[in-house]
Order: sequence, then C-alpha cells, then structure tokens
Amino acid sequence: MIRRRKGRYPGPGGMFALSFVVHLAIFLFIARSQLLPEFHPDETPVTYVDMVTLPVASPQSGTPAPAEESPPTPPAAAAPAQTPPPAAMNLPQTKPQAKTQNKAQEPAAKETGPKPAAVDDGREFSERMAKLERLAEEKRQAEVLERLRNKGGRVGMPGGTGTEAGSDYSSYLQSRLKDAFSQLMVSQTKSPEVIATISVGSDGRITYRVEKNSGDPLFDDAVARAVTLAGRTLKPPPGGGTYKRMFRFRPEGVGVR
Amino acid sequence: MRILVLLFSMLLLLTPTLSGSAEEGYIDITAPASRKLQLAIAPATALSGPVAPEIARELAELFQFDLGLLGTIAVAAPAAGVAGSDLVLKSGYVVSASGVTLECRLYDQILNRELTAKRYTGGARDLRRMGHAFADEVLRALTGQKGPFTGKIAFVSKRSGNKEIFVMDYDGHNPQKVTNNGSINLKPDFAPSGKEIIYTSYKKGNPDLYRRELYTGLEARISSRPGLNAMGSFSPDGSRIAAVLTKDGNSEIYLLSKQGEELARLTRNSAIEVSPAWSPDGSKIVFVSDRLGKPQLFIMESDGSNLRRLSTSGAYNVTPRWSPKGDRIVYARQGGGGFEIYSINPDGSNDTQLTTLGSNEHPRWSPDGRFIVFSSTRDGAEGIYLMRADGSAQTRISRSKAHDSHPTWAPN
Repeated sequence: MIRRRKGRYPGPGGMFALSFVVHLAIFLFIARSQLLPEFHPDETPVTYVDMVTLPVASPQSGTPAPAEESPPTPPAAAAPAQTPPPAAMNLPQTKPQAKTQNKAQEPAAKETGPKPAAVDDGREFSERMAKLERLAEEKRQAEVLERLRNKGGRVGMPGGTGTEAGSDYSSYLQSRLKDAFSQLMVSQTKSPEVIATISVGSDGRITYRVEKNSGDPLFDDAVARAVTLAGRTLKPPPGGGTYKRMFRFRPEGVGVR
Repeated sequence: MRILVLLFSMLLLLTPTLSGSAEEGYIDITAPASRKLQLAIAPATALSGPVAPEIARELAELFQFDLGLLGTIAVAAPAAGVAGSDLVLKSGYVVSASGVTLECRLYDQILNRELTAKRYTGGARDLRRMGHAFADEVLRALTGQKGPFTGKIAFVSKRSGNKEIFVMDYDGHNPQKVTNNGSINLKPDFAPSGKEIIYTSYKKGNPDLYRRELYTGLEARISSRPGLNAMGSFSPDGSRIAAVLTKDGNSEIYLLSKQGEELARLTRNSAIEVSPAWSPDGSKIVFVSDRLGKPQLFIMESDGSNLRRLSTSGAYNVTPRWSPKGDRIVYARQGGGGFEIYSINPDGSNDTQLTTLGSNEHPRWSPDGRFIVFSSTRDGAEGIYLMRADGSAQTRISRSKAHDSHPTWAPN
C-alpha cells in the first residue's frame, strides 16, 4: 500500500514567515553574488575645474614691428582692419576671439611698413582686443571660483588656519584626536585597541560611545581623556550639520600590516 | 521544514561575509606608548580638629613611594601643584583622642570626575596601613586589579643577634619579630591565607619544620624527621606542603599534609633535590636538582611525573619561584663571584637577567606579580630590595644595618 504524504498548510503566519525567509535568502544571494549596483555613500563629490588659459598679449600690441623686418606683403589687405567699433562689440567668445585676433594680426602684420596709418589702427585694435580678452578671462575665473564656493560640503574648514591635516572634517577631527591621544596615551597591555563611535553636534559638542573596549582600563580611560580633551577646542562641522564616524584607537605600530 | 533549514543555513553562511565589511569604516588614531599618567598629590588637610603636619608629610611620602613604584604613574610632589596633571589625589584627616580618620579621594582632572573615595578609621599607628589601603584602591580604580601595597613581607634578620623571622610592611616600615627563640630560623613561606607561615628552625637542635599562626602566635612542629626538614612551600590551595627531607639519606622532595603527614615522595635518585615551588594552578612544581652534575632548574607534575629540564644556561641556578600569573619563573644564578637574579618563561625561553649590582638572591614575587622582592649585598650588609618584574626601579626597603635575607611576600 502506497502511503501518500500529506502536505500540511502552515497557516497565514507560517506562509508569511516562509515568504520572508525566501525573500531574504534571495536578497542575500544577490548581495553575495555582487549583482547589486555598488553604492558609495562616502564618495568624494566630483569637482569640475575648467582649465583656464591665461590671456596672452598680442605680440604686436604696444610694440610696433620695425619696417625693415616685416616681410613683403600684398598691398590690398586693409579690409579686416576695419572691424566693427569696440563700443558696439559684445563680449567675445574665446574661439572666435582667437580667430578674430589671428585674422586681425595677419593683416596688421602685412600692413606694417607701407601704410603707417593702418599700422596705428591695427595696434589700437589689438590692444583693445587684448584688454577685452583679459576682462573676459577675469570674469570667467571669478565665475569658476564662485561655483566652487557654492558647492560647500567638504571644501575647507570654517575658521581653519591651514594647519589642519587635510581639508575635510574627518581629517580635521582625526588630527585633533591624534594630538590629544599623543599627550594622554597610557597602557599596561601590549596591543590594546578601542573602537568608538564619535559624534560632533552642530554646536561642536563631542559625544563618545565605546563599541569595543580594550580590556585594559588604563588604555580605555586614556582614550576617554583624549576625546574629552580634543572636544574642548573643537570647531563644529561645516554647514551647520552633525558628524558621526567610528574611530579606532591603538598604540603606534600595533596592528599595522 | 527542510527548505526552512536549508534557507536558514544559507543565511548563516552569508552573515559573516556581510558583517566583515564593517572593518573598512574606521579612522585610526595612534600614539606612542611611552607616556605615564600624571598624578598630583595635594597636601593632606585637617578636616576638623588639630592640624598635624607630620600626618600630611607621611601620607605624601607614602603615596609617592607606592604609586611611583608602579611605573605607569608619574607622581608629582605636593609642592609641584596640581595644574596640568591628569589625576589628583586629595586627602584629609581628623585627629581625635580615639585615633585618626582619613578621607582620600582620587579625581580625574580631564574627565572631571571622581574615580574613587574612601574613609578609614583607626588608631594613630594604623595611619600607614590606611595610606597603603588607599594606594591599593587607586590601583584598583585605574586598572581593575588588586594592589600589593597592604601586603606584609616575612624575612630572616639578625637585627636581634640571631637569625629570627620578622614581618614588616612591604615598604620596610613597621618590622615585628615573629620568632624569638635565640636559635637559627630560616626560609619562611606564607600560607595562601596570609595568616600562617612555615619555616625551619634549629631551636630543638635539628632543622625541623614549623607552622605558626601569625596573629595568635600558636606554633606546631609539623616535621621533625631525622636530618633536614626545610624549604617548605604551601600549595596554592593551602592543603599540601612541598618540602625537602633527608630522612632517607639523601635530599629529596616530599609532599606533606598541612599537619606534616607524608603524602608522597616526588623525587627518587642519588642527586640533591631542593627548593620546590608550585605553579599557580598547583599542577606543577619547579625545583633544583644537581642530577646532571650542577644545580639546575627542573619542572615536574605535582605527582612527580613528566620531569623536564628548565634552565639550560648558567652552571649554578637555584631558588626558583613561579609568578602568580604563571608566565614567568624567577631564580638566582651564580656567576662572577656572586648571584644575580634572572627570569625565564616556563618553557625555557626568554631567559633574562634582572640584577647586576652586588650579589642578589632569594627572589619572591608580589601577590599581583608586578614586583619581585629579593635580598642583596650591593650596599654592604645583606638587605631586602624591591624591583618591578622587568628589573627596573630597584629599591632598598629594609631599614636595618643588620643582615636581612630570605624575604617572602604575603598573599593578599
């Protein structure tokens, strides 16, 4: 006689639990197989900096080339010198400026010597163009700087003096803690290690929670003293926000691979 | 159900993979490990009643000596002030007709909190004991470990003309005579309770083994077998005594009960076996044997089995003692006209010389294993000295010009 096994319905609660475990297992499998897209919460924001080509003065501007050195040029090339008057000009774009400048320089060079009046006009034009280019570049650099300032976040320290290690708040806090810890480090075991979560509020107040103590009370207390000492002169995180990270305290050389 | 078990197993397998990534998020803070805790001692003040400057002076000296010996604390004198120190020790006293009350407090100046506070009451002669008790308390508050400062040291002294057993504070103060029989009394050893000692005395003519209660003065001769009855050493549980007897014609190591009954003979050969000392767990005994021609250190199980040689350097190694933590054995080695104290791992490695001046013998550990007490001739007559377990801070503690030797530190 064949005995059939009867499946037992576990009820809604059981089904829910089974469903939860199955979903969790699938998620963990996907996570382990690295199928999920990578997430980098602490990725440094990309800062775009335009490469700025500083304006170069026209070789001709302000220094008339000697007539005898100018190469022989065809006589009919004065038309480009009569470009629109500077007062009516809009702010020139970089590339067109360069082209215009080149075009303007060419005839200017060609006209040196045989026609002194045209030479004067060309020089004046070149100087004016160089001035305009300089103004445009200054304006563009100011805009770039303004954009960088507006980005905020990890750029510089409020009230920083330039002596802090690094330019972000983690480096700043690390530097302050290291200074304090160097003054206060005491231990009676060979390789103690304390892991602690350190938070800094928007008012600069530091709080400290031990995640793993060292088993060496002298060392644990030294870490607590270092955090307290560092917290006395701490500047708040930039942008009025709060800061929270895990730190690992240990004697120099311990655990270094 | 099988599916559930399978899925649960998968979950367990995957968990370590996910949690391992937490290692990446730490920011490391490191510093050199060379600093000492800065402790300032504030002058003791009279809380009420008459002012007693001698009490303030004595307490300041006591705290400086006790806490300075530790090596992890730099103690500043009261005159130096408390500014800039990590810790401040404050004390106050009340002198009355009935005795002295002492209040002591330890503050952490950086964390801005009181670490410990105690009040002691006793007679005027108990002042130093109260101070040592608070030094122990400071060590407990800072390290979580019990200090050795209230412990007593028993030793042999000729200050009364004969070799008698004395007991003193660990810092050499307050010596008290234990035996007074006008004979030769040698090699005292404390029971684990700290209330009894055993020692060898010639007061009946033969070197016999005696057990004596320190506070009642009651004494019993526990071994008076023919020949030598000496070098008694209590087992860590206090139930047995390893001792050297020559009743069978040769110096051998025996196990005796606390009352002196023979329990076992541990060694059996033609060589001389002396100086038994127990491991802290009571499972092994280190001793000296010249079975290879010269006195060397050997280790055996406490039933006499599994014998192996410990010391391989030096031609004459004697008086071994196992550290309370079990990690080191201290002993004396002869060389260059005298003895020097060495320390070695129980597996024979890391044999380290600790003393260099004069002749140094009879090393014994403090109950916490931080210090070693020994006798030395470096200043002329043999005296009692202290040092840290690494050989640093060697300090004379016996205050008599007479010969003091064979020190042993009472268990806490």
